[in-house]
Parts: sequence; structure tokens; C-alpha cells
Amino acid sequence: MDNIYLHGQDIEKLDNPLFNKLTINMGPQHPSTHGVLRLVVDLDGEIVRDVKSIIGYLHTGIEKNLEFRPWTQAVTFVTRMDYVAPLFNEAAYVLSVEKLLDIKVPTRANIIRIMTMELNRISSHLVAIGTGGTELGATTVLTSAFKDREMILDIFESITGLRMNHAYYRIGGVARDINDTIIQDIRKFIKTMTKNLKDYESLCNGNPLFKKRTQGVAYLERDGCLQLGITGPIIRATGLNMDLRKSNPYCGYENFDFNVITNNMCDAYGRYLIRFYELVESLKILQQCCDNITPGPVMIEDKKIAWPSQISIGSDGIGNSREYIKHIMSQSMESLIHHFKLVTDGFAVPPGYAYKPIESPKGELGAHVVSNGGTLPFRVHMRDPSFNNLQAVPAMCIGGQLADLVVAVASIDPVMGGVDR
Amino acid sequence: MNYLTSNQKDIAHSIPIDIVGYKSDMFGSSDNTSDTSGYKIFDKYILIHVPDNIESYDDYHRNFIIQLNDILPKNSLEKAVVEHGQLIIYIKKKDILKSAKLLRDKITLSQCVSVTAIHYPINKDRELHIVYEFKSHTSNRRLTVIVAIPDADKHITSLYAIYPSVDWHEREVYDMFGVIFDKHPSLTRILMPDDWEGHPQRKDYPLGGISVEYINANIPPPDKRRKYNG
Repeated sequence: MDNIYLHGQDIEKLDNPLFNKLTINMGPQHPSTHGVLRLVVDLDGEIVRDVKSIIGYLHTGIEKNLEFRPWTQAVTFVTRMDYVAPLFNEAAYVLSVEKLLDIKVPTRANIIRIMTMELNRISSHLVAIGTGGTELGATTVLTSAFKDREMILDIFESITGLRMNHAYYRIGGVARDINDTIIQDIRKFIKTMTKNLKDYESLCNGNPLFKKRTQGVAYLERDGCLQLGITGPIIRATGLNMDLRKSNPYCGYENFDFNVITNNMCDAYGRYLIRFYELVESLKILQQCCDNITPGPVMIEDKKIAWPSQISIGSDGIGNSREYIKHIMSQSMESLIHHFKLVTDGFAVPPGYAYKPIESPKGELGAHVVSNGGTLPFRVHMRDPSFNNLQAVPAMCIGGQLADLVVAVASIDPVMGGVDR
Repeated sequence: MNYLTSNQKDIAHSIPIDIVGYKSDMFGSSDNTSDTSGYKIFDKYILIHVPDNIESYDDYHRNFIIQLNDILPKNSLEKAVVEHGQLIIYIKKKDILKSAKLLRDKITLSQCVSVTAIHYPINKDRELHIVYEFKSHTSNRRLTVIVAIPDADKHITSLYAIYPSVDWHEREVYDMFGVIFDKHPSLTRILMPDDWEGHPQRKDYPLGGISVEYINANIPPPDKRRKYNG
């Protein structure tokens, strides 16, 4: 039978038994597809017979752009990829370049990185839980999740000067040191958040409505996950103990005491529980960061690579600190030359290829970084977990109800900025 | 830094070499012959992944390479390099499907995490490098496999039959580099529009920036700005 195209006013014709297959288009501008994801769904009544996910609506050519700018500036670009977890993009890129350069970052910079990454993990999981809840009709989950996320964004604002797209990590350290006030803020946040976690517990964990919508929905077993290259909370919900923070530690995660959360549910409810209990673990890591942080440099010693200035936050936004400007402009001409040499030309990275994966909130995030010995990256490619995990939509949804499609996409938690790059 | 001068470049090598860049040190002149020594010793070709003697690698990687050499099809392993604690092997193009099956079944590399490509226009007959990242959950091993293919024949067998996860990754490589993965179930563009011409991540594809205009000043786009010689 040829395809017949129906318009809105022809809806009565659907009663005709000839039309037993209905193809509908969901997205790219649909409120419950997490951004600009487009799903083409073949329906038989309410049953999903086939689903194709179509991406590319947010492709911005970040990887191509990186090839025309110095190594340091790339951080500003990659932070815009997965915009819900920006610091993880920066960390993946920066760690790969540091691997190529064979440099070791000071301990304080590493602890600051872990601290900010764990804060970011909490905020990303809160978005996942909140938007997942609102797509099921539970709007209160969204409001409380975004209320709690606001606290984290405030902390980020005081650390990096920005609420999103921080460009905070530098090759060899971080852009700005943190002070005791920020650590006090984080301690306060840990207390408040631990209290607030009970809200989510009572809203979702035992809620019979929430459980009915999520249990047994978007079911994907471990072998399916392995074949489809799934990582992150989805594969941990199949009972596989896979967390790169434990198996391939980076930034000094081996010095921290935390558990990898797993369960055997394989469904959307299991993934929700993983994210929920990971909030608790992240708070544990944050507490240890606050207790263990020691004074010290936040940028490597090597003057050939280290960014010469520290960023400071003034009344009109972020920029170079006033003392530093005074130093290079009126005290030391050599410092000025050094500054401009590093800022305009940058440093050369020895030729090679590096891939250093990290555990982002969504799974394995890694940057393939290639250098040909120059001051610009030769090629950078981000392996984004959302990009890979979205391949699982058909496996999770075919044979299920149309309403469960939204639950499946929410349980994958894709961020289209990361998928399309 | 590993490099070759122009004279050494023409010497036949048993192990394939991969040139990633060209650099003429100092004494540059405006004409084509930038070399003033007369012996072409200032022109350097920068190399990537030059294997060391296998004895110089640590035990873990040495044993891994020996194991791979035993398992993989005969003569399929071009070279094996350990860089920054990361094992990178080059496999011949015709053996990639067979090798992937053996990697999955014999040494439990259960996931193909990522596929991407790199375009080296200067690297004659090995212009495109297809990079596969494998990982094992049982032994916590990681392996990078690179297949070098010529730009003139951009065909390679898809690994979809062995690792279904490569589906979208291979589509992205096709979209961005024009590499055709034979036996892929639906090799279509994934990020760019369906009717797009050209493959944006190739080095011969321009960035296409526009200049930023100020009053009495004009900042050229990033690809047209002054080049520094790192």
C-alpha cells in the first residue's frame, strides 16, 4: 500500500482498518524529547512498532572550530557540548591534553577539579531526575530539583564567575583558586542537600504512581547494553559494576572513599534509583574534598605551559586580576612578553594521540586528541555518552506503549548539545 | 620528537611510517626551496607512532602485544606502540573484521567504545586513520586500534556485525570524512543535513568563517589569521 498522508481534519479516517500503521513525527521541537531530538515512531494503535531517532539539529561544528585555535582556547568550546555537565567536557579534554604533554597537575587543583565535577554530577543528576519527573506529570519533582540545582549554580558562579559554560579548567590546573568562603558554602550545601534528599525519596522512591510508570519500562538487559556500547547509570542498573572513577581512576579519585551504585532492575526505575543514590555518594566525596583540601598552587610550575595569570571576578564580570594587569603593564616588560607569547601563540604539544575517558553523569566521556607538534590541536573528537546511549531507544521501546517512549528517553538522559556537538 | 629529514623520507621502511606534519626550521626563504643548507636537513617531517623496541615496553604491554600477535590473523599487525601508558596497534585494512571478532571473542574486549577518524593530507597513501577504542569489563583492559586507509580508496568493512554499537559512530565518520563502511546497514549522514555537499572534518574542507568588522578595523576569521610556527 502506498503511503497516505493525513492532515489534522482527516483524523476520522483513522478508524479505517486499512490504516493499521501510523507514522508520527515527534520533535525536534517537542517538550519531552530533551531538546532537539526527533523521533519518528511507527504506531499500531498505542503500540510502538518501530522508532528511529534522528539527530543533528544542534550540530555546531565545535570539533572543526577547535582545529583553528590554540590548545587553551579549546576549553571554552568543549564546555558548550554537554551543557548540563559542562565541567566534565572540560575535564575530558584537559586530561587528554595533559596526557599528551606528560604533566602532573598539583594536588590542590585535582581536589578542586573533583569538587567541581561532583557538584556538577549532582546538578546533572538533578536535571535528569527533575525533567524525568515532569515528563511523567510530576511537576513537583522538577521544581524541587531545579531549586536545589540553583544552589549549585550559585556555588559555580562564585568559583568560576559563570553559571554554565565555565571554561574553568586550564591545561595544567584550574583558572582560579577557591577560598574558604566557597568551602563553607559547599559545606552548607552538603547539609541542605542531605536534608532535601528526603523530599525526592518521599516524592519518587516509594511513590506507587511513579513506580507504575517506570518499573518494567524501557527494559534493557546487560548483554544488550554491552552490545550497544552503553555506559553510565543505564549499565549500572543492569548490575554491572562499571565506574571509571573506580576502575581507571583519574584526578586522584583513588584517594576517596565512595561506593559504585548498582542494582539489577534494568528498567527506568532502576536508572532513577542509581542516579538518586549517586547523589548521596557525590555528597560523600564532596565532604571528603572539603576535609582534605590543603593550600598549594592550582597551576603547574612549568612556565612554558602554565597560564600566566589567575582569573579574578570584579564588579563587571570575570577577567585578569587588577594586580596582574598592573604587574605586566607597568612593572615587568618580560612578564608582558611572556604573557602575550602564551596567549597569542600558545604552547606546542608533542605529536601523538591520546584518549583519556572519564565518568561523566551519563557514562563514559572521552576526548580523542591528536597533535602534530603544533600550537593548535590537529584533531579533537569527543566520545559523548549521550550520543552512544541514544542508539538504545529502539531496543528499549519497540513493543511498548507510546507513553513509555517518553519515559525511555528520559531514563537515557540525553543532552543534545553533547549528542550533536 | 620523532622526525625525518627529506633525504630519509624516501628510504623504504619495513614498518609503515605515518607523517603528520612538516616543518622547516629557520632560514626560511620566500621561494619554494626553504632549505639553505643544500642537504635538505632543515626540512623535517614529523612522525607519529614510531614503535620502540618491544623490549623497552613494560611487562604488561609487552605481554599484551605478544598475545595480540598470536591471536590476530597472520601479518595483520602493522605496528604496536605504547604511548603515555596507552597501547595503540595498527591493523591492515583487509583484516579488520576478522581481527575485531577475535578481539571480542579471545581477549574479551566486550565493548567498542568509540570510532573516529583523523585526516592527515600529508601522509601519502595512508591519509585517513580510522581509530577504534575497545574496552574489556572483565580484565579492565583498553586497546586502541588504528586502520590506515588511502584517500583514493575510502572503503573499509563495517564492524556493525561484531559490535552493533559502532552504528552511529561509523555514520558520523562517513558524514565527517566520507569514509564508506561496507556492509553497514544504513550508512547515511547523521549530523549534517542529508543534502550537504562535502565532508566537513576533512582538512581540505574550509572552516568558512566570516570576518568580524569594527569601525576602522577588520578581524579575519580564525582560519585566515596569522599563523604561528610552534
